[in-house]
Amino acid sequence: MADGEVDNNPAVDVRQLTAVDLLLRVLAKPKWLVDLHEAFILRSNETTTGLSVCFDCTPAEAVTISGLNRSHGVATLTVGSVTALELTVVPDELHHANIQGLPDKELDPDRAEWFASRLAQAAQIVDRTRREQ
Amino acid sequence: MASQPLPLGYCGEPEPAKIRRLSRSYPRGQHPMEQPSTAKTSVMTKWIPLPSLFDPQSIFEAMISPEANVVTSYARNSSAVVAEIDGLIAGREDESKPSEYAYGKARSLVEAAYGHIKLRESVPEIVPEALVTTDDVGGIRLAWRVGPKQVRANVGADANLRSYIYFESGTQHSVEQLDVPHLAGRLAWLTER
Repeated sequence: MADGEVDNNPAVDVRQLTAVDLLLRVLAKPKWLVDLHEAFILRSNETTTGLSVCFDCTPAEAVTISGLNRSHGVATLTVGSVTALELTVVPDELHHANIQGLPDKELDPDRAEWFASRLAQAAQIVDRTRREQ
Repeated sequence: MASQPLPLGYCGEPEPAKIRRLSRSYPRGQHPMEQPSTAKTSVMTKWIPLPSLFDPQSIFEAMISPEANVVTSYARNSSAVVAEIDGLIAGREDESKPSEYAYGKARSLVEAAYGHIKLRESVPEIVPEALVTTDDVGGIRLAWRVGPKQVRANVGADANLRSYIYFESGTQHSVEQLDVPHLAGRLAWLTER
């Protein structure tokens, strides 16, 4: 599959994503609310799978899906804004997808940081609720 | 979406968030995203450091950047950044504890780079306050921003993990070696008028 495409044949039966669909990124740290680019740097457990995002769910549901013990809000961005950067959105569960194509900062820091800036520009913080689970 | 500039100290009434349908499955008017946002008020009250009466060397200014989701504060010296780095090693809620390697390297780099800047007469003394955080493996990340210009320092958790400076302004972006001359140079570049 080429970069910039949406994978419409995921392993599980999930609906097709379109350019206007919203992806939710759970904010793990309060400082991500101050400068959002940090939310789009791959964490060590995302380097093989891609950046974890949710869809078709509420912010609270996204936090539950993320599995984070504590979170500080949620940012959203459209599928179209992601694919416009020639990144790929791959749904793998009913309400979960991975943004693939982002480089690990250990391997390509320039592109990793640049993509983080672009995704932060495209994203909007829609929830600033601190949650623990 | 870019935040609008607000006057210093603005703590006005929350304004409704722009409504976007999250999916087709939620009835209109019931979507949990459709609720008032207190984003701007929260940012101002939570994240802008107040001047300390006990630290006359620290003078702070603050503004909401027109860039998205960013608050910029300014400090005259490295004390605020060093205090943030010290706070990480002391253990801070919501932050991974940095490695001793990253802590020592970040602290010494910041102190030396800020000192280097002060020695350069042509460079404004005021540099923006840094966002100081950790990655999830014990590295430290620092970020400075003035308008469209950004500088980030990534201090790897150990010598085998990458440490680098990233900078961008408009379409210009690149990485540099993380050392005192490069960091001081990039902070000077950041504050150039």
